[in-house]
Amino acid sequence: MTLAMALRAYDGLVLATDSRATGGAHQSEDTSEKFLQVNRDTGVMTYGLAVPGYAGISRLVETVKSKREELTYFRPIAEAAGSVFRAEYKEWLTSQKQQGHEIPEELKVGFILGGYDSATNQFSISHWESPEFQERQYDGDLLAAQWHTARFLLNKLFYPEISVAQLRELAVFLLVETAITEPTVGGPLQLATITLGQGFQRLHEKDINEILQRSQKRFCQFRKILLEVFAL
Amino acid sequence: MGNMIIAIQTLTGIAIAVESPHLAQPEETPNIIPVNPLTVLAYHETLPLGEQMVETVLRPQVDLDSDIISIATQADHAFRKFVAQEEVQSPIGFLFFGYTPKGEGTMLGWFYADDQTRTTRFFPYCTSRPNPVVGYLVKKVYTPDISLTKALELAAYAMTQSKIVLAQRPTIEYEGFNLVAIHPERGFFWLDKEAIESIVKHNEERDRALCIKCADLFLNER
Repeated sequence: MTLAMALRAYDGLVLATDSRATGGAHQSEDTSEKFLQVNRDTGVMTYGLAVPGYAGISRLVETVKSKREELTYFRPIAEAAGSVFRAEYKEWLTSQKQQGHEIPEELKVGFILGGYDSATNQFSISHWESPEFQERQYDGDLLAAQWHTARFLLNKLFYPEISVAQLRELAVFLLVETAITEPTVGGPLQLATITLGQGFQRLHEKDINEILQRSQKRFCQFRKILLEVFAL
Repeated sequence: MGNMIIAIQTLTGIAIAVESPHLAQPEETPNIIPVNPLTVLAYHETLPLGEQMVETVLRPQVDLDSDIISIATQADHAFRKFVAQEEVQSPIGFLFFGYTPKGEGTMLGWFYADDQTRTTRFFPYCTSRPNPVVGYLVKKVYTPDISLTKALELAAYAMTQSKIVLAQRPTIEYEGFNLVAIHPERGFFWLDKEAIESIVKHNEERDRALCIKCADLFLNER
């Protein structure tokens, strides 16, 4: 599994995930590419089974590029995405069966689409997961896969007035803290922001490393706070 | 998914939080039972099956006056035989907590699911089902010299926070939880309703303090 999240700030979205791959030959690799930009205002992310996940997000990007006029805004892209993800997953499942590999039901692949919806003038988050691939829309934030620890932390640390700049630091914090106790979460972090002014912006490794550096004090501070409140 | 059980071992005892239909009414709480003064048994998943296995397998077939290791070993054998004979389909689990005659705190889990049984020993904590929130809190807060009282508070806090986190998932069976402890010399004891309510209230204040202290954690330093 992994930890994948789409968080909502007052001025945009933050999409974040780790890079640990699950399933088949990719088990325990930390190089899985889980993010792609779909168009200026939209990004897509995958978690769980690495191969059908990457195939799904790549195919969505290709589909949107080839149908630019139809698939310009968030809602039509989201409506097309479900069938793209389902088709890629079925194709992968068939190839696995042909090779004699049984995929356990608990191994899932999921997709998160985040973007600015010009039709409603709102930032939107949608989610699909195997095997049904039913779209679920989220008004708040979305945490997927190994989400429990991040939800606990988010309950304590999130506030609705948070900005995208602060929220991406919170996303890094959630990923690192989850990786402490979840062996299936880890590897280089992948982050993107979506704002009205700049659209989808992927953070470079250097920027993420700077956030990690800045966060060192914060990790210690949080541990100190936890120890203090438990000393009460 | 069964009821949630959280146990934390300290140098001065074992703290146990058990998700239960009733608060601190031992006689009405079916999912944790004292086996002998130094050993308790908590069960999760299918509660009627758990009761049946305690009454028809554990009590008649196992020498419950022996120590925890011996009880767990005998129970393992008897339970395996029972699930094979009865062709049990439901997942079921038992957690033994207690002290050996040498005073070693021990937590042993016996689980049956998908035609497989396994017995596992835990330290310093265990849960009846995987629970990342408990693991995270123990990792952050647990120190080897933590007192039994603090461990009970931590177990209660972890129980409450896990329930909050899981609230939107259909995995919670009960609203309340009980707290019990095993002291290496004084043995098993329940915390009464007032003591649990006091810990819950204290934890609410603790949680509020945590939120307040964290309020400016993500303000960028310029």
